[in-house]
Amino acid sequence: MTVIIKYFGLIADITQRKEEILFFEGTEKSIKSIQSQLEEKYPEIKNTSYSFAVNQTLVKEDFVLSDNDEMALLPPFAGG
Amino acid sequence: MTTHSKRYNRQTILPEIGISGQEKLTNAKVLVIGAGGLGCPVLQNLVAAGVGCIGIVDGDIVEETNLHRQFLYTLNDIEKTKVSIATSVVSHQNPEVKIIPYSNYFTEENAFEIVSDYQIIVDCTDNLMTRYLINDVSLVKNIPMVYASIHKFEGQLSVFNYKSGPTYRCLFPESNTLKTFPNCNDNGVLGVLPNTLGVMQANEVLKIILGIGEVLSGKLLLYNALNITFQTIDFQINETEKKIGIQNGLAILNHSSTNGIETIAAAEFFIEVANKETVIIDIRENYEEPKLAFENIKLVPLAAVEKYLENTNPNQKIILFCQVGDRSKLAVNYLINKGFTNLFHLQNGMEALEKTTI
Repeated sequence: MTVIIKYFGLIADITQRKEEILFFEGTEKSIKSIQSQLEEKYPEIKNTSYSFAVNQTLVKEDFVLSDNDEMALLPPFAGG
Repeated sequence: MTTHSKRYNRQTILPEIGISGQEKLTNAKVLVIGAGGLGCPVLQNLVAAGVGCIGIVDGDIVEETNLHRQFLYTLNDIEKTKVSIATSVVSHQNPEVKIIPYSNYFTEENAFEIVSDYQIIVDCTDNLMTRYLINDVSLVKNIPMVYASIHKFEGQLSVFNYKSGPTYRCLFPESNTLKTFPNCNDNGVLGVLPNTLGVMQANEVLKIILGIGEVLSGKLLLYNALNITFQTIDFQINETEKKIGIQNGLAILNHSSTNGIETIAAAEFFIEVANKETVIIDIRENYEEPKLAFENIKLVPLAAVEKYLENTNPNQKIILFCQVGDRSKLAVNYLINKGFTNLFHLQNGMEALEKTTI
């Protein structure tokens, strides 16, 4: 399955990209398991905090994604 | 009434506003917290639109590095308080508006006293701790909070607690925030960006007052200035998070006079560094100089402090310090909420020590 991942703020600073397309085995994948793969790829994101959105809606960690879903990692911004 | 109608003519001739809409604006009371990058355009736009009463809260002074984005200030205003300059400039811009200045930072101690009977709070602050504080106070007071924040070329905009809608905590639960908690070191920002976001905040405020359009409640707008993209994320009430906010807000309301943050002065600090029983932590980043050469000072950058203290007795006497005392104050505030009872921070940080002879 294919998932589009979007990064914002501090997270995009760490990943050095705004978005990427990732491929996973199977047809369903939980947020948690995608998160652990992303943390392996970008270890520094473990030191930040962020919320998840899938297809432009905020979701919790137990949400399960399907093929072609778009997932966003949203950290709070502090500046003003 | 003639000056009144002429000044606002181009908005009162809009059928959606009219004379009755202008009266709503005249009667409105809005509190703007933070008179920096976001606060300046918010103030300029609300004052121009004729919002009748505006409170401005900020404890900061004008610095030269503010001038590329904070257009209420000029070179002549360096080292003067932002609140005094902003008050004078916007009063001149529109003498019909009543401005109430508060020349302190917004804290747990003064929050409820300041918010009193304002109808809307505009969050123009620059740190997460104050944003949670504003959220919790606005929840208890049942008033909307118009939020914006920026990071380099990106911005976020939303309205929380609007008609009992989702809160800041529903979007960003607090559990891990200390990890991303910003410090005094600026990330850098394009001057146009806070102005873009501040104008959008003013737009939300005016819609709320006028009762027109669709308020950005339950939606987070994400703006990127580099490629001009706008994306919206929908979110709902998280009952657990909302409850945490209300409980915290009520605790602040009930303890605002007694729950002061304990500070220690430079002289007392030098007595404590000789006391092996006291845990003293330099929470500055590793590259921040000069370091203090005392055996019992631990170097633990802010982001790692909570983890470092994980297995520490909550009644242990702990003193935190940073460069100027702002990060340490907020960290103490955070750790008090985590259950630590014997916390202190060094007032004015390293700068206080440098002025004291050892």
